[in-house]
Amino acid sequence: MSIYRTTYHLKNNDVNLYRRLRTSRLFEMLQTACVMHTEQLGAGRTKTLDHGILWVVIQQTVTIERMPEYDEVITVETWPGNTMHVLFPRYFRILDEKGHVLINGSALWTLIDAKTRSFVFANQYGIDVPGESHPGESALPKAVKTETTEEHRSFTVPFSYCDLNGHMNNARYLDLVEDTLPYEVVGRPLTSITTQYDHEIRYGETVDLAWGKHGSTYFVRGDGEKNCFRISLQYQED
Amino acid sequence: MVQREKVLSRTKEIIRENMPDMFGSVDEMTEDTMLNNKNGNIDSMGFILIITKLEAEFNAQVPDHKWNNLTTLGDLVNAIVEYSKD
Repeated sequence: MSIYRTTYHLKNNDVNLYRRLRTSRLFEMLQTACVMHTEQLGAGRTKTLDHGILWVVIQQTVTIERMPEYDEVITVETWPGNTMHVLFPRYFRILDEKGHVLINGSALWTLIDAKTRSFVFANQYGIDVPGESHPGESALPKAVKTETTEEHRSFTVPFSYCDLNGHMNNARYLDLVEDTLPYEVVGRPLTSITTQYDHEIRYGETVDLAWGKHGSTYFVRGDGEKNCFRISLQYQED
Repeated sequence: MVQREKVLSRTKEIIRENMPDMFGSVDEMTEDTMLNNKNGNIDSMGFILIITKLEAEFNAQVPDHKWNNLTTLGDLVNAIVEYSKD
């Protein structure tokens, strides 16, 4: 079926103040590649969005050898894994100009009904995404382990954080996290990020945001009436 | 045929891994503990993570029309045992 590939030349708005690719931009690029490939495979807008069905991410993980930097040309690759009944695995990696793998990762997507917000069975909508396997692909995401938290604050979802699915976009959670963690931590080189989206957060909703440090890892969670998300960010050791 | 006790044990472990906040203690769950209805403890996203991971691990595929009937821990374990090809 082939791997979907797209190339980016990193501009000033792709990177943070340390000239490294923004984590939220990274997730946007991965998300865009997945969406574009899904369109190519015939499981895109006409079979989903136009029928009131939405693709959503449940879990995502990336391991980072080196975060791409300003003015660097990178290639994003993605391919689908074998469907797990209602879960659609996605694998991806980011390569530098010499073909070295900088970032490796995977995600679990599913389909939900736009009105009921409950999952749907893809085969009932004629949606099929043939999977394939490639050497060196990442393990599928695991649940983010719940850790203790020491700090918390309230957060209300602003308009700019929401996407066409009517909820906070999965990439914006990384902006939220990096706007929340201590100044001395944010921007330091990351070695891995794992996200788990348990409950969507919609425009104007308020959640309690809590975070804590565990060795070189920061754990961040957001809770409304239920847990909405959990994110783990592992930073390079000093 | 897959052993029911093994499925039960793994189901609790997978619930603990994926939905750590859903129960006071997974060990306190009984087979009558509600999982997947309005009064249940696991919402739909958590439920699909748990059932699909069990399906993958025990080589099972519970038919779509059976999913709504899986309301308790015991129901889920029974379905995995019934549809496992191991």
